[in-house]
Formats: sequence, structure tokens, C-alpha cells
Amino acid sequence: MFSANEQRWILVWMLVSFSLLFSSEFKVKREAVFEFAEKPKVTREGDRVEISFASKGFCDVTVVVEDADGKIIRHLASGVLGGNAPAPFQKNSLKQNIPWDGKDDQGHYVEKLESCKVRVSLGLDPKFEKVLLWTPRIRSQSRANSRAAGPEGVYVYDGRVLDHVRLFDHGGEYVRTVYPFPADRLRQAEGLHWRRFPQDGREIPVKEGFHQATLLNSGNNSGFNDKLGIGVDVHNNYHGAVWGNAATMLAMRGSRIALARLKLNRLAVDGTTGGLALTGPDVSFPIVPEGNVRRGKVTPVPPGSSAFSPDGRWLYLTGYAFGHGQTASRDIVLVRYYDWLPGVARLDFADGKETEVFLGGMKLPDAGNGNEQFQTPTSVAVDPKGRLYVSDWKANRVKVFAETGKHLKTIPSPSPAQVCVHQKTGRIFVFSWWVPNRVNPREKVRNFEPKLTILKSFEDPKPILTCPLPVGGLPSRGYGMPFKVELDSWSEPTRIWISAEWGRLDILTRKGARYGNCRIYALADGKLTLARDFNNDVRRAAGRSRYPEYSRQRLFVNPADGSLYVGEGQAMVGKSFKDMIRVDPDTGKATIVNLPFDAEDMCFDINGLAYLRTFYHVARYDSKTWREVPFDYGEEHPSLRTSGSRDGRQAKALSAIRLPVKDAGLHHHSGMNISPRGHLVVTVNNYGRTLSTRKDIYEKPQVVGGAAYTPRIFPGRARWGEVHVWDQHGSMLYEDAVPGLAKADGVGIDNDDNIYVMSTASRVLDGTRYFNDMTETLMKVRQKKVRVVSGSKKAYVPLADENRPDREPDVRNNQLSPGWVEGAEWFYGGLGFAGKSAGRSGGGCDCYNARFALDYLGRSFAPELDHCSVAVLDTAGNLIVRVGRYGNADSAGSDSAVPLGGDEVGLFYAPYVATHTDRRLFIADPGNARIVSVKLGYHATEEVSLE
Amino acid sequence: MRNRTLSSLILLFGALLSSEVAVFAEEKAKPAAEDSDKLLAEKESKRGPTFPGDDPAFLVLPRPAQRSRQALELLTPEVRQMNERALVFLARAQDADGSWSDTQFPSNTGVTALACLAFMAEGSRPRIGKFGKSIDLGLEFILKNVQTSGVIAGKGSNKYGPMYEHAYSMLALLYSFGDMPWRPQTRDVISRGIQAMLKSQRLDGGWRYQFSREGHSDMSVTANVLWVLRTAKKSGFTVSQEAIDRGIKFVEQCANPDGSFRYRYFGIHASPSLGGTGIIALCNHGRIDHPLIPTARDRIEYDYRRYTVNDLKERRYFVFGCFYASLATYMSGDAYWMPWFKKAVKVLATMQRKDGEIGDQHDNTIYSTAMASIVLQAPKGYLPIYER
Repeated sequence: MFSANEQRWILVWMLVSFSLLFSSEFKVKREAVFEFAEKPKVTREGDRVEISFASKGFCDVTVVVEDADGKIIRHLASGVLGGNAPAPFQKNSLKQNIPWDGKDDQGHYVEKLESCKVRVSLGLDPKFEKVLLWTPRIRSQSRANSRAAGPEGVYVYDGRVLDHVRLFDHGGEYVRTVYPFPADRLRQAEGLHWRRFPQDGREIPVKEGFHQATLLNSGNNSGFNDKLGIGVDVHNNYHGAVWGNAATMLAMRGSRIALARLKLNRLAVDGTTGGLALTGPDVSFPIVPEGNVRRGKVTPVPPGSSAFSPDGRWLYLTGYAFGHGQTASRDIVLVRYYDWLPGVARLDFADGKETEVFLGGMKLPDAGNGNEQFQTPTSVAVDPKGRLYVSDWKANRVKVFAETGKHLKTIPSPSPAQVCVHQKTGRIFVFSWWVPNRVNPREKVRNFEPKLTILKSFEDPKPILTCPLPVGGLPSRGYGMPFKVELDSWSEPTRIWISAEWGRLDILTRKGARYGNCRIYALADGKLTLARDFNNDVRRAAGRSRYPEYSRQRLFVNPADGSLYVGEGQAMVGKSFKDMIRVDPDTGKATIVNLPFDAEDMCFDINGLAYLRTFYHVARYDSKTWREVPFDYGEEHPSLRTSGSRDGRQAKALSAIRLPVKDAGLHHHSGMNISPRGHLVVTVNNYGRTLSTRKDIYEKPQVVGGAAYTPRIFPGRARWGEVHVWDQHGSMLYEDAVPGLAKADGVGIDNDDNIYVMSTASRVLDGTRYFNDMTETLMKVRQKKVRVVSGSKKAYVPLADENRPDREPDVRNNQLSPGWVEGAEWFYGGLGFAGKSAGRSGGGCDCYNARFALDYLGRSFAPELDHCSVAVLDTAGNLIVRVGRYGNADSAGSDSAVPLGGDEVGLFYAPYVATHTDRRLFIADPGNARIVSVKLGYHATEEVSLE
Repeated sequence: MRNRTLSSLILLFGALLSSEVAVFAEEKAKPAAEDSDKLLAEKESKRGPTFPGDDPAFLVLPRPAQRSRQALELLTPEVRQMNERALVFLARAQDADGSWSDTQFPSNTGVTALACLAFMAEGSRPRIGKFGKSIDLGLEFILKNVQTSGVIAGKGSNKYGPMYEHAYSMLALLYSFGDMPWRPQTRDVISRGIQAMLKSQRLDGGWRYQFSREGHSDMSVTANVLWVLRTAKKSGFTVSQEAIDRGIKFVEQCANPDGSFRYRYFGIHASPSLGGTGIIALCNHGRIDHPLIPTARDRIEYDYRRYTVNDLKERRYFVFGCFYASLATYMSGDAYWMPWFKKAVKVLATMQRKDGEIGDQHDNTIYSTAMASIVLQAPKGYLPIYER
């Protein structure tokens, strides 16, 4: 039944599953008994206060001191009672005595102790509170997005790595999400990769692609390795892994939705796959590129237009455009000219048979002017009687065919870029604009006047109306189809949805974004009037209309006022941000905050001062005025900035911390954080040349790590991520605090100077790697008492085999190979997303990443991306609780369309978190285009006044 | 010659002022001497302060009506033993070239100067006393490291710049050059050292590590430079009053309303170690009635009273701050000085290691041991940096 190789993989898989399923690391450690056996009491002697209480069970306990205004002035303790209870809790004891020295978090004595109260809470109880920055109308993909109108509204596909299919009503109001599949329909989506996760034994579908961010497999953002059981990049599409998506076309009829790019994906309007398997046949046709991008390599061309037959059986596809590209830089491809495959394809939606060439041919020489030939077939439409309308732009005509493929009529029409048929009146809407092709004379392109022509009917195709078409600008040189329209036949008056693609210039300047999103025009009195602009809606909700680059929404909380700041990728290939969105979590109001310079990262201290960093400096600002608050020990700098591009912004700094780094590289820089008492931890990525021989090391020690900073090298030391700690004056406290760390996705520091770091290496448990090697590992270490030893032969001084630690490695990735963390207090794996750091190719970029959050109680909130949850761990590494489960945007509380139960937190792809200690947890879920605010309450709370 | 005379006069004057404190614990006070002191005190009290020179800050106050008993009370056997161990450690740590080296500051003139001052606080002078030879060798090292620019700094200078070591070297030379007739070049060295300092006063009025007029100053270096300039002025060297006034203005800018001082005028975080530096910067220049002094003094008093030994010990640069706080609290009278000293001794006792050294967070042991030793020996009154 299985080959020997397959049997071996199955055995490995079983061993891995067995090992992980029984691993205690992922188990919730608290006992679900949240009652006091003895209510809290306090005894006070001068500044010394002792808090005593007893719990009925070994649950998690949190002890804080609050002032008269309810503000937490001292975070005393939080953790799970029992054998591994963190200090200052007594181990294995339900009865606890917690001392307090009368000081606040910053080490100052509290002068009015009598006005304070001690709060003891049992059982963290996170609950969905609200949705912030909910932007279902945001536009992310660079192609003009596809829509399909039906009686209930208009279905819109949008996607860049993350995919969305949403239903809007005829006026553009959001109705519901079809994909990501609703939580209550997930089991009815057939053909997903279900897996029982080691975290809690729950079955969840594993996502596809290099970014592991989609359940669809129709596009170039997908891919799945059955042996490994994880999403991978099977398309080897380089930047496609970053820019790719599931669909270049969307069609719907009845209850069926067709979504396709390279393959067909079958969906249904109810959020299932309609009883069919998700995966359909290939829909692309090959071409051989002529530019220097993939020159000579057969490349699939996806369809750009599609339509169902009235009975929903047949799906017609055309608009196969391909731009022959020339690389202008590593990131930019300039398209020189376009070819259109001169045919129309057809497939039976349900039977799974191969896509067939229905009309014309799918090879360039098949082009022609015959009745059954095409030159530039840009779009296809079907009327209620099943007749096919194909716009042939270059041939200046619309051709009509019977369902059998028989040519019925040719309607002369100047430059028909897209044709639609009104499903009630049978009127033919012909939209014309310049369609890029082999020859694109600049003057002609500029002077072309887009217009809409309405023809009376198939039988009498005479023009009854011609009016200008407000496409909003010149066609860009992107994917061949600069604009797309959808005719909404069910709206009154008739509405037309228009969107444009983003071209190269638009991406660089964002100017094109103004017209890039959906605009709904109403056809009345012989002209088109703007009824709704999606960009305006997005701007109202989020203060901006542009999509967060790389879906990166790094979250930060200002602990002084609890407001949420969202840093979205702007300059420097989406890594730095010059503006942030400040969200008031109480009102949900979003405002744009202009930063002094484009920062690569930031953090807030307990007093609300903001620390912004470039690759090389950290500067401090008052977050109300954004005036610099210079460090005592710093350096003046004339122009702080992260990006040198036109998207950057720069600022002069009076006194900024100069980081020990040279040749920092473009990679994300692993994070920064500040403890309540002002100790700032920053990780830097130092470019270090890999030296292959010991001789090099000994003879050229200055080469190791570059001239700017040379850490101590030890056998097995890897480089890239170095961790340093400064005090609030800017004086370095701990240099190279976690030697050998390599890359990380976030770092935290608590008030005892313990360092928490999410290494990009995946967890190895009892010798077995976590099944998803793209995940990361959170660990707690003590500065200077930790060392990460790599088994990689690329280490500066490779570890001799005889010196390898005599135990299984703790972590593994492509930088460390096997990695042993000497001195770590605990680990927690299966987190985040490591990108290329995991060692898998697929885009060559680790721009996608993740971050964890550390609160002032030493609790870590870490995203379990593949598990659709956030793990909450105490400072001893005990898993307290897990927040969230699979859910789409319609899961938004108990009174929402798809309630989930439990904490009601629905997540699809949630890599970034932030917390306002003991108040709120914020989870950025670009998979659902929203940020979820979670209220952090408790099952039982008692307060004792110190009066 | 004139300078030597002046120096001797100053020492005499200092000795007069500090006669109240120059009491050994084991020495029994003589009733007859007390009576005569009382009579003189009454007489001087009626006369009020006198101004022997043109400088209004250079005044002679009436002697106190009652002799301070602080030395008797503070110089306990434990304190003496702590200090003895510290001095022995310092003496043993001296390098062959006469210098002292710290972990961060090898062969450093500033560290050497502080070690010399610690021995001077014991009562030794160059070539005189138990540590006379060590002082002499140390001062010789300092003089060997005078650069053509006048800056006193050797190869082991602070990586940020040599102003600290220059300032401490100047202090050591100022407090000893009258006792070193065999090194007549010292006067010239001091004079050129002063000029180097004045030339590098920054536009904001203060000083920083580098001998440069560019950039922003810091409070700690500025207070040290002002201290040196004032000591030089008292020793008869010419120092521009304008430079001092600008320096004082900078110190005022760094003050917080709660009595703490910021390290930089644009900073936000008060540095506990800077309380003493602020006070001595102001007092040294005759601003004994400066409105900032009472709040700054009270802040130090609060800090040492309220915070535990462990709290204080954990502070960064504790010994450094303790040294300046000792100068400030001594200046403020016994009511502040005595409880402060007792608490400081407790902290230093917990910090002292088995060989007598006291370290900082960077594992430096020499400068911190020297500073601690000067503090522990303050009740003796031998080193005229402690003034009232």
C-alpha cells in the first residue's frame, strides 16, 4: 500500500506526533479551581507589607498593588501555583505569603501607602472585547481585484499572501466573510490538511505556502509538503512568496464561487466548498518568457477573467496576459511588453476534469482575425441565455458564441477591454481603456480616453449610451489588465464597481492607491456618479487607506495611557514606519501619529516615553509632543533614519544611543523592550563574515563581526543577533547578554533583568523537532548566564564533535543547525513564524515574522500562529492559558454571526501581540484584517485596602 | 615661593576651620582647651565673618561655640579597620611606575590621583608618613603624564575622554604641590592644566569628557571641574570669574525642583549619585545660601534615610555618589553628616571584599576603594576637601 519511503515518513510522523502529544511543555499548567480558601490579608510594618492568602487549587495567581485611582503601581507576582511556581510564590503551597517592600515598579518608595490597595486575583480569564482597525474594504493586492455580483450582493476577492473573499451588499456594506472559512463551516470545507495539534490535541487545518498563511491552494502563495505535513513554497517563485495570492479571478453563480490563479478552488457562498473538493484542475496555460526574468523557463499564465454558465456547470476563462519582464533591481521588474494567449478555456466546475481550450488557441501563433480566433481576448461574460461574450481588444470587436462554442455574432466595438452583460436587461456593457500589449506608444496610451458604451441587446447591439469611464488614471504596466469592473445587475440603479491595479510607480509612491481600491459608481441620467469609495471607508476606520506592507502590524502599548500604537511597514521594504496609527482602545478611534523619523522598531517605557530605533541608533521621545528626550550618555546625530528611500523621514538627534553594530543589513532586527525600571534591551543584527578556518579567526580577529563590534567568540558561536542592555541614562549595563543567540523575533526584559527572547529556531523536544520547522521558540534566560552553542559548521569556530553537549539539542534552524542553549530557564516552542530563518527557501525573505509581548508581571503572550492562538506563560514558563482559536472576521463575540464559545477570540493568522498589563491583550490578525482587543479579567478577585 | 606661602596659609586656614573636627577618637578633650575655645568663639561670634581677600567667597567664619564630637562618635573601631584594610589594598595595588590601574582604566592618572588623595586623607604627605612614598611615586606618575596641551592623562584614559582623570590629577597636585618643593614644575603644570580646562568650557557653560568646546556638557564632569577651579583659585591661581559663573549656571540648569540633579541639562532622569556634586559645585563657589542647596541636601538625607542598605548598594556608581554626598553632608553640619556617615558606612561595609577592596558594577576596585577610603577618613579632617 505504501512504498518503503512513505512508510519511513509515516513512522517518523507517528513518532513526532507521539512525542509532541505527550510533551508537557504545551499543557496548561493551572488547575481550573479559582476560589480562595483564605481571603487575602495584609500586615504592615513601616514600609514592609506582607500579603497572605490561600487558594483552593493550584491555579494562577496575580498580586498587584493599586493606587487610589486604580492604577497598578507595583506588579508583585503572577504565576501558576505548584511545584514550578515562580518567585516570590512559595512552591507546592496553596497558602502564600508575598512580601512587598513598599516601592513602586521603578524602585521608589510609595509615600501614601494608606491610599493603596492590594489586589489578589485567581485565574486569568481573557475575553473578547472588541475589534479595532476593522478594515474589510482595505485593498492589499497589486492586481486589480476580482469581484462577482449576485442577487445577494457583490463578492470581492482580495489577497496578498493572505486571502479574503467577502460579501458586500449592493451599496458596499460588509455582509460576511466567505473565506477564511467561517469557524462553524470549516469541517465542510473539503480537502484541507487537518492535523491534530500537540498543543491541545485539537484538530486544525494546517495552512499552505511558504508563509503558511492560506488554506487555499489555487495560487502561488500556496504549497504543501505531505511528508513534512506543513506548508512550503512549491512554486519556487522568489518574490511570489511575498507578493503571491490565491486568485486572479473570481466568478460566482448560484451558490458556487470559483477562485483561480494556477488551479481552481471551489468555494460556496455559505462559506463551505459546497460539497465539492476545494481543489480543482489547473487553469493556467504556459508561455515562455522573453525578458530576462525566467527567460526560457516555461511559466504558467493565469486567467484574468471568468464567467459561469447560467446553470453553474461551466466556467469560462480568458484574459491570459503575460508581461515579459526585465529586472531593474533585486525587487523591481519592469515589464517591457505583453502577450495575450488568444483563447478561451472552459472547465466543468464539479467534475474535476482538465481545463480545455474552448475557443481560439492558447499558443501565441493561434492568434488571428477569424470568427473563432482572437488577438487580445481580455474578458468573458455570459448572458442569462448562456451566450458567451468575449472582448477582443486589439481586434476592436466583441464576439458572441453559443454555449456549444458556435460563433453567433461579432459586434464591432472600439478597444473593448472588458465586456459585461446585465443579467436582467440583457444590455451589453462595453468598457474600453488602453490594454497593454506588444506595442504601447506612449502618446497613444496617454491620449486614450476610457469610456463606457452600452449596447441595447444581443439581438440589436446598437449603442444606447456612451459616457466617460472614470477609471482614475493611466494604465500601469503591471499585470496586463490595468482596470477591472464588475457590473452589478441586481442593484437599482445599476452600479459599476471599478478598481485599478497598482503598477510599479504606484507601489513606490503610493499615489496610485487613491484609485486602486474599489469605487462604486451609480449609472443614472446617462452618467456615472461616484456612490462609494472603499478607500474613504478604510481611512475613516484606520486613519489611512494603504495596506500594511507584508501584513506587518507591529503592536505597541503605551502603558502610561493604555493606547495602542500600530506600526505598519512603510519605508525600507516595509520594515520601518514613519507614521503610526494610535488607537484609543476605549473608543476605537484611530489617528495617525507622525514619527520624527522612520523607525525600524520602537517600545514605550512605563512613563510613556517612546524609544525609536534605526538599525544603528536608539533615540527617545516624549510620545505626546514627539520632542526628543535625550539620553545622558548618547551621541548627537544629524539625520537619524532607517530608510534611505524617498519613503523615509529623518530627524536630528541631540543624544541617541549608538548601537554596537556595523553593516546591519536589511533584515528585521529582532526587537527591543524596556523594563519598568528603565532597562532597555535591544537586539542588533551584525553582519559577520563567515570565516571558514580557525587560521582566519586567529590571524584576523578584527574581521569577526566587523570593525564596529566584536563579541567574544567561542567554539560554536553563531552571529547575527546580539543582545545588549542599557539603563535609562543610555549607559550600557550588559554587553552581549545572550551570546550566540543568532536571529530572534522579539525580546523582552523584566524588572529583575531576566531576558525573554523568541529565537527564530524551532523547538526540539526530547530529540524531536516540533512538526512545523517554520515556528520559533521562546526562552527565558539570565543575562550573562546563558550561552547558545551552535552545531553548525558555519560557526566562526565550529564546535568540534567531541565538544558537542552530551544531550539532545534544544532548538534547531538553518543558522544554528542544532543549537544548545546553556543556562536557559525554560523554553516554549511552536510559536511565531521564522521565515527564511527556518532554512526553507521560498521567496528569499524573512520579512514576514512575528513578535511576542512581555507584560510587567513577567507574563509572556506568544502567538501560536499555526494553532490560531496566543499562549500565555508565567515567568517560570508555566502555560497559564491559551487565548483564541480558529475563527474568521464574523467571529466577534457571543452575539456575532459565528460565536465560538470560550473566550470568543477568533484568529486566522495572528503574528503580532501587545499587552497593557492586566488590562488588555491586543492581537493583530491580518488574516482577518483586524486587531482583536481582549479584556484581561480574572475568575476571582479580592482587594484589601492598606488604610 | 609666593604660591608655597599661599598654600601653607590655606592649609593653616583649613586646619583652623577644621580644628573642630581634627579630633581623634581616642583623644580625651581637655576642659581648659574647651574653655579657651569657648571664649574665642564668643569673641569671634561678636566680630562676625571676616574677608581676608577680595573674593567675597573667601571668608573666615566665627568658630563654633561648641566643639564637634563627630570624630569621636564616627571613627569607631570598625570604621578604622575598614579603612585600614582599604588603604592596605590600595598600597599593594600600586604599579611599579607609581600608577594605579583599574579594570576599565589601566595606568590611569585619575585613579592614581584618587589613591594619593586617600593616603593624604590618612595624614600622609609626599615622602612623609606611612604612605608618603606611595604618594610621591603616584604624583611622579601624574607629572610624567602631562601632555603638551596641559592635559594630565596617560594612555589608560577613559575612552570617552580624559576630563575626569585630569580633574582628579589637578586636585591631587593642588593639595600637595606646597609639600613638594623638589618638584618646582608642579606650579606650571597646574597653571597649564587650568588653562586647558578653561579653554574647553563648552557653550552651555559646562564641561564634558573631551577637551573640546563642541557638544553638550554633563553635570558630573562640570562639578568636578568647578571644584578644581575653585581649589586652584583658593591656592592663588587665576581663574576667570566669568567661567565659574557660567559653570554655576549650567549646574543650576541641571537641578530638579525635588533637589535631585540631572546628568545632562536636557535629561529627564535624576541621577542619585549627582546630589552631592550639585551641592559642592554651588558651595565651593561661595553660594552657600543658594536656594537649591537646602532641597538638594534634604534629598540626600531622604535617600540615605529611606532606602535600605541593599537598595543603596545596588545603585550604579554608588561609591562615586557616596563620595560627593559625603562632601555635601559634611558641609551641611553634624545634624546631616553624622546619620549620613553611619548609614554610608553600613553600605560600604557590605560592599567591602576580603582583601579590603570595594568595587563597582564594572569590577573596578581602585578608584572606588580610594573614594570609599576618603569618605571613611573624613572625620579625621586631614584632607581639606571636607570643609564647613
